[in-house]
Amino acid sequence: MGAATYIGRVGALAVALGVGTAVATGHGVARADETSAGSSSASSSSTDGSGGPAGASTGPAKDTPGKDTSSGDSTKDTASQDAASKDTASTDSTKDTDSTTTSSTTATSSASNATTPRSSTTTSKTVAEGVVVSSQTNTGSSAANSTTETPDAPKLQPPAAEPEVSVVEPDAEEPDPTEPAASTPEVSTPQKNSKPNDPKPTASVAVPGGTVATIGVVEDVETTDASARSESKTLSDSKTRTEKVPEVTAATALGVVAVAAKSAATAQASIVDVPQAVPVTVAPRNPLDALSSLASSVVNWVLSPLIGRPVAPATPPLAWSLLAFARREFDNFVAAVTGRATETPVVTVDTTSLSLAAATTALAQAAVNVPGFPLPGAQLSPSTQFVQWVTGNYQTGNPLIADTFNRFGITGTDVGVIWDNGMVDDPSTPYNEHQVLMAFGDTFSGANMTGNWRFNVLLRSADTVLSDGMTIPDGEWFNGNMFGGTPLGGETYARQIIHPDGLPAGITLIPTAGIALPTPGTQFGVTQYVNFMSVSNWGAAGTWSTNYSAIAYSTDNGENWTVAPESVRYNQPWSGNNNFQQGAFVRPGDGYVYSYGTPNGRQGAAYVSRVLEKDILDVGKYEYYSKGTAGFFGIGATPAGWYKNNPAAATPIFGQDTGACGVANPGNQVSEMSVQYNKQLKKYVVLHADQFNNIVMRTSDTPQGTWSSAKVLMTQQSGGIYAPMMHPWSPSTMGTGSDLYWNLSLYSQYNVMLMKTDLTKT
Amino acid sequence: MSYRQLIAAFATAALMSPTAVAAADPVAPQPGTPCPPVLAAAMTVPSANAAPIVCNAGTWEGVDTPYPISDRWLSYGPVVKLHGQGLRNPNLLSGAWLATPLGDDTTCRAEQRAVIPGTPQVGPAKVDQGDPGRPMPFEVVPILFSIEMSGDCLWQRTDA
Repeated sequence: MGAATYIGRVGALAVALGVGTAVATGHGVARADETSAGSSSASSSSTDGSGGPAGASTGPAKDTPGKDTSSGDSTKDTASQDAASKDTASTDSTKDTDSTTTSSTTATSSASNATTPRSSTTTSKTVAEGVVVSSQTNTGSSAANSTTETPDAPKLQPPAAEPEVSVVEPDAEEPDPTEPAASTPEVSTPQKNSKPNDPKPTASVAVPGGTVATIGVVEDVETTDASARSESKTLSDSKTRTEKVPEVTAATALGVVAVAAKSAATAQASIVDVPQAVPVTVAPRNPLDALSSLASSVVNWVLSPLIGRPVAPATPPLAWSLLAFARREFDNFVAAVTGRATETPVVTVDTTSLSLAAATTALAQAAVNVPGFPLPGAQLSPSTQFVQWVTGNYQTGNPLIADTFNRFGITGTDVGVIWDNGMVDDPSTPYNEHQVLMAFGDTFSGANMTGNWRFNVLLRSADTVLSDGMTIPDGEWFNGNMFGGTPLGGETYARQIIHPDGLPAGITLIPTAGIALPTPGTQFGVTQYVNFMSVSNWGAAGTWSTNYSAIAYSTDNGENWTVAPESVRYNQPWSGNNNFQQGAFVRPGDGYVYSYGTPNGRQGAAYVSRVLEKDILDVGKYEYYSKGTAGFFGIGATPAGWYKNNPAAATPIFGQDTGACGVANPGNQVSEMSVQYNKQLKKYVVLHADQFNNIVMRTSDTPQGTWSSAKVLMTQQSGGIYAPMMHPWSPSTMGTGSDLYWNLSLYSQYNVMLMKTDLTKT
Repeated sequence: MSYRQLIAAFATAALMSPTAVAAADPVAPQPGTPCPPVLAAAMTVPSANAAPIVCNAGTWEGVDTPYPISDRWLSYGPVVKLHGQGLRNPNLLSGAWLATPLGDDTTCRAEQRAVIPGTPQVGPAKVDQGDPGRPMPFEVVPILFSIEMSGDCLWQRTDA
């Protein structure tokens, strides 16, 4: 008797909970979508497993060689294939075993949206007056190189003393470095300290800086090996990619874009629905299921009031059941007629679906996660195209392109100044020492500027084929390799490269220019230099204040950096250094480095200075270009020319139009900029944004000008674009084509894109 | 089923029903919906991580600039998170601000975090909270990294 009571209570409680659940979940609608028993579980199972046949492993395959191993790209020259295959080899050298662990960790991190994929080993300490200096941790450290420096970066040989005083002296006799490639094609060739014993056939390519890049020819064994690895990794990669979930960002929801994983031409993309549904066949439908579903709905409709469901929507269950039944019958009819499978997942896996496994795998492999705007390949102006993302938590189909959260703890960053590291590939190593280095500004692990923050980071690439994006190899963690994708602070965490080093503390340190110069006797025979600004305060759009600009240098391919105190330019209007708070470097090959400058913010004009290469760190050795002044009726007039150690003598060289019409001209103000010598045009080229946020281009025969008026390459885009940074290996820069590649920051996504401009269409 | 169990059933249903919670939340402004004159030129964020909207001529509209910044912001209840001059393209400038409750029993609350100079780190939170129904003057710190504003309040810069 007592037992019966308890049974009755349990039953009542079950009814109560059932009612509550029904009210909370609106079961009637859910049931209307069911077509057969168990279909609900089938759906969840299919989603979790990404379609079963495609595999259920998560995370990126760290060692998928990516695009370069596909070979067969007829557009690649020998040098580029070499670089590409080297890139792959470098990537393959590590991380074969930890992809699953890594991905599972990062998946969780991504969900939390603000965490570090791996713990950073960077430590901080307060040294004086509250200035915090973070010690640097060597990526790869010195395990394989006993000469690798410790956190204190190696000092350069101090430049030879040159006791010149500050003399206002127009330098009229010095030849202008017009067309540097012709006049001084090869100034120096960066050489490593030791050369391999077995030199391979090499091809020499003159780089813009006047150096000669000696690039090894692809070895068959490497290509074959890389290709084999590529094939072996493709499946696992495709499996992991199906698990990726698009991340919603501030302004634009991520779309799921299907892109051919590897295309010689520009990637073609099309938006499909989110999430990545895997089409599968539908089991033969039992007509009785529909009838039973309909009957069930009717019964529920009738009995609902009797089980204490007071005001639940009475009509939806029946109405939705009827509509769902009609829709499914229509879908089945269409499917039967057209032979297409529907997208309805099923729980049962019948034998006939095995043949579809390959098809779904291929689809999964092609599926990628990138923002909906712009789409890779989008033509954003008659001359300019968006190629692919350089940074971002985006899975593009090639694991070496973007995907920077999983690999480097970077979900958002910007700027991306880019320069040739001036090194020569060592054929005896599995990686390519000849790289471009890219320095970025404020960097965050989470979306929308959240998570772990770094003032700046560095990425590397040896990719010479840019038409399908720029590959960045994975990092090399504590193995002595300083040619991985980034200087690491953790196994998959890019660390900050430039620190205040005792200088006045700002709120960030933003790289604005980079260059490599030969420095015989140093570790790699070449030193990297980055000009950066210390920001003291951000203002409204396009305005900010700086404490100073300065140059940091590295002799180990960007692993460790030291700020040169003698390079500091405080933002003092009376000194003239206020016009050199942001920079751009160009090295024509005449012995000088030309250093351009703009004031803080984006409202100023551009100025230019120059310095002998050996004196680049000594701000007192610079000369500043003036167009000359007329004086007062000729009194006090100064001729045009270069004025040593007198920043205040510099006059604007472009970006300062005047007059009612002039201020409305494109290019009237100069934002972040980059300068190159373009062999295709046989002119110096500068890209910058203007007062309308257009990206404009100017050309000149000499570094100081006269510079042309601005041509608009592309107008302001939704989301906000800035910081056009030209790639030194662009075909037009190298003189092998008309395309100019450049990095461009998109604020809404807070990431860097690779753009391509056809100079024949500007 | 006893009367008590029936009540328990309804109570369970009420607790589990999302509509009960939703009814307590304020209505988030949406583009195309009207806004009162008192909010003219004010911006708000209709949902977390959404692009800001601005009250223009009596209607909430999308902001056409990629770098939205304003001296007037609306928080309609839930936290509206903005960034200041410690980051590129701030949403608001530092200085003297006034938070005005839009309801008699509304409390305005601001939680600020500033950048620690020289480091990519933010300091501890600085919290300002007013009394119900009373305006709250406060200072937006100079190198503000982020500010979380909550309450049905209009936030205005007063030293512009």
